[in-house]
Amino acid sequence: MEIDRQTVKPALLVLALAVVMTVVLPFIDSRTPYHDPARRGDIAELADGITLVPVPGWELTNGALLGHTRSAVGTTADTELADDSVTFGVQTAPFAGTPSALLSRVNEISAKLHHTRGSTGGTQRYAVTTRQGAVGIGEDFAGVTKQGSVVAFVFRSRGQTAGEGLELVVSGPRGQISRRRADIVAMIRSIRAAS
Amino acid sequence: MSALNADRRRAIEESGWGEPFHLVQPHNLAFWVYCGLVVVGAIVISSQVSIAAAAYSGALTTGTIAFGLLAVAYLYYIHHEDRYTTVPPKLAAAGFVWGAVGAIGLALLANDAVMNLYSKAFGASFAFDWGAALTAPFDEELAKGAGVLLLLTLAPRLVRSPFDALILGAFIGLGFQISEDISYAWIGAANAFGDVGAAWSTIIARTLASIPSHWMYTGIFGAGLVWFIGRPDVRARKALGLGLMLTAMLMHGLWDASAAIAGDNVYSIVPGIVALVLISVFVWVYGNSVSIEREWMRELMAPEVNLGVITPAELDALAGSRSTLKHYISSQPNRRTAEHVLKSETVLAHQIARDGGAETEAVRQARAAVADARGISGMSASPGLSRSR
Repeated sequence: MEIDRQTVKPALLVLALAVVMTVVLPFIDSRTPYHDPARRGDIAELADGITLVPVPGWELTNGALLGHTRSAVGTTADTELADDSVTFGVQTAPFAGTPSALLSRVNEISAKLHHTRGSTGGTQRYAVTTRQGAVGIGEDFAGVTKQGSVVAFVFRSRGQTAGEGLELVVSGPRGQISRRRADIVAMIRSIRAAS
Repeated sequence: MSALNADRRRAIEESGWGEPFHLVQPHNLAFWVYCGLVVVGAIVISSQVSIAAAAYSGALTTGTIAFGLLAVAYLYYIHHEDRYTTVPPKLAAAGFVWGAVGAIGLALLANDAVMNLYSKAFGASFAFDWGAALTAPFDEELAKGAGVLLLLTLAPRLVRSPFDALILGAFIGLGFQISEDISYAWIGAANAFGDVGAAWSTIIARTLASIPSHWMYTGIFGAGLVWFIGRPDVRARKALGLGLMLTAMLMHGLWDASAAIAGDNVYSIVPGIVALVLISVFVWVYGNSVSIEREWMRELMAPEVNLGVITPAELDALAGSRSTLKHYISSQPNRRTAEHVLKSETVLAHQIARDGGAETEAVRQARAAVADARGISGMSASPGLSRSR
């Protein structure tokens, strides 16, 4: 089968573009490290009116630092911090229930995603309290190589039935999580909502 | 008469009107690249859809139905505007599939990588503000524009004018837009802890913003690409072509940057400005590229005036602007009949083009249908027009 020569140039041009988009750019991304660690005084804006103080040295890989962005951070937002292979991800969105109900919802979605039934194999639930006094519910999970915690908070302004739900997932290799336990606890305790 | 017939044959030859489109062309490298990249896109999308189907099936179904209906409305509109030498349905479908699957797959992979690179190079806050605006216009417009180039290579006789590329680009952009809309619907739910209500918010917002969107960006980009490279009957206008492609990218970027540009202002005028400019450019491109299509229609149907099948006024309406068409219809004593006659004349035009200007049985039947349509109200095109013609 002979290829029509007139079709070769445009087809190869598109193929070259596709290779750049699907191979070259992801390869460059995978080889490029983050190198803008959080500094003392930085505050991450998790959602409109909800903040967290990153421990210096952790990288803000996704999200916004308070006072560093022009766009408003809405009620539904994603934030992720990372230190080596440990990730600290936060998802916020309006939620009408309790922290326990939010954690159950998160587990239910996780079970569906992993095609498992019921619990994801988490530990017993425990209360988590921020320095501001907000009480969330957490549970730990452990896999073959990774472990971590899921914590849920629901922040409510006075008189509001629907609040702002916050799901926090910390995960990483066993040893690395243990070494960063103090950092993780400090960041969770630093979460505060504007009153 | 022979001069008119010669013009007719030239119009058919130049426009490619009536030429069938075959996607399967093993000797055309563009066919293999098209298929390969659509398969890559399908693999990328299937991994996303499996997540959506497992955990957010309600939002996925809602989004698919709502945006499926929106797609039907836009497909009808684009087809409605393409009323001269229409893009064949198979070519339009190939464009839609490229946008919905091939281009989306490329853009998803590239967008993630480029957004991460902005975050790594300039910090997460910079990427939060400007990442989308500095990524999507390049990745997405080039991925969709690549579809125009591939289909032009697969159907060089069908994509003969910037107008053809405007319409083909609109189909590609629409495919991309609908695919993206559906993904945003379930991602909206995923970001809101599975709340289907969030999917509805996305559906309403994306539907309201659906006019100044991908179908327009890619229509403009496609017309610009054809002007840039030129076609056998359309000389290359590189500056205009490049300008249009860059305009599509710039408008896309400004739209994505509107929140960052607005800053603390609750009411941003940027989306309004982008919508106004984009629609104006689209209308300008339409107005400046459609004339060759009208000329082809006129040359194709002129012999029918001499045959007494259609009237000169009907030819003006068929080959004229939409306002000429509306004015003609409103001036007729029976508007419904006039519309019916014009529709059957359009069918006749397509049949003549399909048969290469030859006197075939199908053409004769189409002429008889015009006479039939006229007979409903007893109108006649001209003295001597009869069904037996």
